[in-house]
Amino acid sequence: MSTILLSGFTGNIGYEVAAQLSAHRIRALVRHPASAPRLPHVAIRESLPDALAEDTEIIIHGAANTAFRAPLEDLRIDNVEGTRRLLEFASRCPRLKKFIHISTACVSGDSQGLIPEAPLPPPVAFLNPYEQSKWEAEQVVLATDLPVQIIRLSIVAGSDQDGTVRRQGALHHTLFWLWRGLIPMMPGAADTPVDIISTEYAASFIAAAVHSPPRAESRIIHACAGEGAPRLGELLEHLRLEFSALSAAWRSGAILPPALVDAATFRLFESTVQQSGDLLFQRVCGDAKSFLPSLLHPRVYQNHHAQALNPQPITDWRSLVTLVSRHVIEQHTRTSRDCRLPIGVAALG
Amino acid sequence: MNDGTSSIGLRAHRALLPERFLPLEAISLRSKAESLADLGFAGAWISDDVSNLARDAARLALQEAKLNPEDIDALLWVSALPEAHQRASSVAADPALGPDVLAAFCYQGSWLQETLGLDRAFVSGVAQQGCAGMFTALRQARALLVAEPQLKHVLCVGADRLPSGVSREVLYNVISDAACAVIVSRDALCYRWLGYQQVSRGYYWDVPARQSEIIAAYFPTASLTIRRLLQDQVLRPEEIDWVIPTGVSAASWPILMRLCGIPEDRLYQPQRRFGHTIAADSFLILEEARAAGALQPGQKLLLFAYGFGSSWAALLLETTDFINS
Repeated sequence: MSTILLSGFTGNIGYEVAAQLSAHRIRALVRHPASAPRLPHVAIRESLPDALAEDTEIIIHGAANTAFRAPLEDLRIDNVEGTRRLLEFASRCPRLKKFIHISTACVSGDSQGLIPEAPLPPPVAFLNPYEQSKWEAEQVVLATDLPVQIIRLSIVAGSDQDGTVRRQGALHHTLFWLWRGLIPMMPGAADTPVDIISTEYAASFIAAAVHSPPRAESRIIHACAGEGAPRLGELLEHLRLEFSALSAAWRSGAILPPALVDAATFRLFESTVQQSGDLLFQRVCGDAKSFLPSLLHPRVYQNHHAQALNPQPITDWRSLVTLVSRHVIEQHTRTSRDCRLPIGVAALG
Repeated sequence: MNDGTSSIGLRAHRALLPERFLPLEAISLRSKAESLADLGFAGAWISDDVSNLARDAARLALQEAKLNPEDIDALLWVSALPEAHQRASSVAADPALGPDVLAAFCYQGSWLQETLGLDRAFVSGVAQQGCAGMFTALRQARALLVAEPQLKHVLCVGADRLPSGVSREVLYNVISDAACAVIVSRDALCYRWLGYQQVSRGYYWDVPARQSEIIAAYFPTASLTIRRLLQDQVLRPEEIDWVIPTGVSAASWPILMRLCGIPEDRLYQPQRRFGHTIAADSFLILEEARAAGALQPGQKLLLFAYGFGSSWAALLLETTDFINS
């Protein structure tokens, strides 16, 4: 049993990480203890007194500001300086075995092709300020002498058991607007990989990292689907079939899957949306902007180190997408009073 | 080379705008005038009597076709708005008796037949097609000629005028009043009929409730409709010589061209800006293209329109030697 300090317990995968580490003693550092979930082996902490340094053996830094398009300076405060502060704390932990930094595969920015499990040079451009702040945070982590390990996650879609999503992000908003038939086109091509994994799969790599000693060759790993990631065309076709089972509008073809277009066409479309002043469409485009631009930069995340650390079959993406999309639709149906849902949503019960 | 006598197609067409033009600042709109100006709109043409505009367009089309009124076998009246199918009775209702239901049977098509002396024609109307109404009328006119060999000429007349006081902006398009007349014949054709494709989706019948969904469905379904038409005709997108747009948002046409794979330089760029006219757009622009000398014999023209309902309609024509006459 190790004593683990976990930041990001209330985030998208924090709970699942803690659940998979039930044999350990976990201190979860959270901002709002009242709203934090409870687990028997998890003690909730609002602050980080020096006394905790004494027996902390593992630090999992999963907290991050994921407001993709927030100002870079704001994101740096949370994602870069926050990481630096936790590293400083780690340097005062005499029994520290490992500092696990949860990063994102999106630190590759606009890079294309095979993305290695290695430190990445700055890309030509980042697609949003969040990516840049996370890339900068990695540089801070890699600059220390501490036993660090960076786990880059691809898109964590939700639970592969029941589709639950603890914190909906760009993918989930996009899924919902797709279901509503409000995304007429997407940038990208049919063979563009869309790397999605389940919450459980993502958490299993972090748990495996806790149980493994630091090794230079696996300092950076990709918890990703890699070559097994679905292609955009097959993902949209799967969603079309899935939505057709739930909605007469999809079944009849009244709602069509979005057209796949090049960057210039998508920019033209975005420009007309901006010109029109249509508030709903601007919201749709705003939500989609955090997810869709990455589709213009097709890439496959190498995951050899990850598979060596945690050899297990990757998430069945079809089952995952089915469960998550149903969960997202149900959640929005319950909470969005202003949304007019297509016929067939009642079938979801 | 096609001499236009061996097939069915469009023999003549005329479209008219009213005389009164009001700039964006002077008409009722939902969005800011500058936003609509950015989308390519300058203002709207306003008519007090679109029936007479329709009559004049029909007369001009008959002249251009070198046909007499009695040559017309069928008249199809086209309007998107239900009230545009009716005209006021010459007899005022008796206030003591309340509204006279007989007044509801005063039809524009019948009035036009009488006014133009289309004595041999049978009359009917095309409705519930929104701005795709004229396309549907042309399709039905051609179907009549195919089905009934004794018929030679069908006159399609479309006219719409927005009621006074309503916003002239519909889903980010500025609406002008206008009228249009097209004669579908068997001979002396300017445009040979190559093909037609229409997709109708009743899911979007409730226009106010599904505005956003309709906007989103526009591009994928328009692209599907045009691709199906090209597929039916075994044509590659680059074999289209001209795409004749409507007056809806100018920015939308390059997007649609890209979605269909049609080179952007094939989009005819109209010089005259009149907004969107419900039924007459395509033919106002077709007239302009012809007058400008852009059309040459043997060219393939793609016309496309979307109508509330919802219907997406694409028409493929081929110009004949008569195009320059």
